[in-house]
Amino acid sequence: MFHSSKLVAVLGTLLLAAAASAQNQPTTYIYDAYVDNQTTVNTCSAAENVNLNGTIRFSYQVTPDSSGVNHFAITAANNLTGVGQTTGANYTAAESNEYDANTPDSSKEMTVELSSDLNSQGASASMTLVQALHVTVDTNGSIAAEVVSNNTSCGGAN
Amino acid sequence: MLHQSRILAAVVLIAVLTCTPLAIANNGDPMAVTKYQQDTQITDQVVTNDCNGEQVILNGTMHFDYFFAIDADGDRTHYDVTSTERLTGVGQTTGARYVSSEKFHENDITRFGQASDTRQTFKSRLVAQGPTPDLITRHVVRVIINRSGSIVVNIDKSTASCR
Repeated sequence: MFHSSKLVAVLGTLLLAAAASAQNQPTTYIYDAYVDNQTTVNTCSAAENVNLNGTIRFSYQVTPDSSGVNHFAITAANNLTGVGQTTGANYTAAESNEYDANTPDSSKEMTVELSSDLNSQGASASMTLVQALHVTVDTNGSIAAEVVSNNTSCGGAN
Repeated sequence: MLHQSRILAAVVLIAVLTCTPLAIANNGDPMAVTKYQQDTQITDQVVTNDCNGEQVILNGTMHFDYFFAIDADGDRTHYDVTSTERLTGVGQTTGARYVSSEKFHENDITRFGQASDTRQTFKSRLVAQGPTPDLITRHVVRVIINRSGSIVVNIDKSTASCR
């Protein structure tokens, strides 16, 4: 189940953003990975499975400096809904984080974490969702990304 | 005040506490692994709650477990960093007390022996020890690790919010 979900995420649509209007500004490349019925477990109560759906938008810019080092600035922003498979509880999450890397290489591969509040839309307790994201980008605008794992902990905003 | 907190938070870590050579395989290419760990103290770091302007003083530790693995022909280096943050906070106006315990994990792959040079935001929940709402802190942390095991950590920016 989760394996197939990861494949779905990998097959998300690759979008190339319009070139920046100012000539000197780097191009922003955009990739939407679809989260399609990925499962996480509510570790705070009854170990209930929660199905996640929505998107994670990956965008990045790459800027070379005078010494030949490429500065990759990657942003991951999720927009998710979740449904508890036993209780029917509904959740939403919307968070972003930026991940920067400096390298002389023409590509960058990293696995990072995106932590977001999984906000309950009812009486259930909210949680914190931590998504491990595997991202590969290069100087030509190619990007590949997938959700490696979805884990929860107690203590999301209420 | 933020400047002071940046200075206090700009902790440079170079000591190596453990070094454990191992051997694993990755795509049939044996790798040499070396593990390290490092603790550093966070002392009187000041963040301002941007919801009410109150200053909160943070104290505690940041613990780093990290290793790097080099494949047999040396062209790829896999850096793995886990950071565990354990902090307490005290509001300077209200006296509200907070506790935070968060873990962060990152993998980075470089080629041809390059160091890992990354920056990201560590988001933590400061759980209030009373009726005060929790705080969310965001530390923009730059981490540089090279193949000699040296690690440099710099907190470029810290913010706190009630949401």
